[in-house]
Amino acid sequence: MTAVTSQASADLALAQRHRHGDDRAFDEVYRRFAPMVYNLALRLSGRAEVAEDLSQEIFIRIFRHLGRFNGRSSLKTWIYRVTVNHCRSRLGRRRWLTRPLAEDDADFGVQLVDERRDPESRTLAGDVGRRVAEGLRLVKPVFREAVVLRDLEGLSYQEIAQVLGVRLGTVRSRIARGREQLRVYLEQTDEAADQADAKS
Amino acid sequence: MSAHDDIAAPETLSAYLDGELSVDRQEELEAHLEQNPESRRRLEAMRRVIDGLHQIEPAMPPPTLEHFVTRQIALERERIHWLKRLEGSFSIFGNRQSPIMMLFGLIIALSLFVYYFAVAVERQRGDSIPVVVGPADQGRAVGERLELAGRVLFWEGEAWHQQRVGAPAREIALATDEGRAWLASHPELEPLADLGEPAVIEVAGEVVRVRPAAGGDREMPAPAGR
Repeated sequence: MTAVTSQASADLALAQRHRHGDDRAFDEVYRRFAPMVYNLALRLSGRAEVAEDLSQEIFIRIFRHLGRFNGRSSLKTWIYRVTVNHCRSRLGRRRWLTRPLAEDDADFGVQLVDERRDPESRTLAGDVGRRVAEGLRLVKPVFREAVVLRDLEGLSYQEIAQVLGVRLGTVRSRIARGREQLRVYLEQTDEAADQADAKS
Repeated sequence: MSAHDDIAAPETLSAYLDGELSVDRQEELEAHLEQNPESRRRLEAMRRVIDGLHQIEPAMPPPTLEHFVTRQIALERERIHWLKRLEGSFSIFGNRQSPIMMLFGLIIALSLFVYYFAVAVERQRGDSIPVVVGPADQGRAVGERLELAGRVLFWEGEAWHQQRVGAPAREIALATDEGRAWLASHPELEPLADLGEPAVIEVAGEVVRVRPAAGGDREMPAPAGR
């Protein structure tokens, strides 16, 4: 509890320093949260180049509004909220995110991992991981957000509720529905793989 | 949905895997799972999904991101800096520079107003260049317009010029016999005789410079044959 309180005080102090024109405050925020913002933007958009653009815009927003951070949630939750809201508003009109799998390019799922890493580390730990990454792009955005925040970012249900601005019951439902869609997708691709094996 | 189905609903299985069920609900589900292989299969399938999600490795932000953000933030800081200076300068209760800056601002605003007013007036004049029909009594202004014999002429360089014609191929003096004969063969150009000023016009595919009677004499004799 003491650690949480001291973190909250440190977050508030950081925002205050930024408000008073201390340039180093924002630099610290960038260093702490750049991987988090980029990864969330990557998982929600599904494309590395889009994620980079989104991350830039998100940090501009953070820079403009950090001074108004009031400590009612943690800074991490606040930044997650800014990121999710920005991704929603920018990606809302992009239909390609919800294209059926068959219409998309061959490396559809791989784009959910960072393409700039070396090939070996880019390879996901297993086939299931690769297919789940592929399937995640087909999950309805509102469920995808909840699943990504829970299973990739490791947030608690309470934190997700704060980020998304919904009740705990809604969080639970969205996570379950997103995972259920992925379960169905995995089973379908299992069947397709079995049929392909049988033919060969 | 029956109570039997409800206990193994995706929402319950998902919450169970996250440790988000109450103790009672958890025990109830576990008892159900022992009896129901289909529910166990679905639970394992959902666990497989979560394991798959955990296998997706976090990505490193590209190095260019920091560069772009730094550049954008520098611009943002610059913008804020100037906004603050402007805000401070125009504040009535601000520093000592305020009256000077307010005066400066007023001068700029006034200058802009005068400039745009002048531009508007000029545009208005351009839209309504006066049309002169008939001979002029005074000196001409460049760009002055005249309609003559179905042609639109503009005053430029001491002569009327028909629009979009090239250099004249020859000159015709209306005071000469040749000029009078030429005018007689083009009766529609009779107003030229009354114009009393030089004109460059196109006649039957030929560009000619028509020189009036000497000194712009309007008492020019009538063309031959008329």
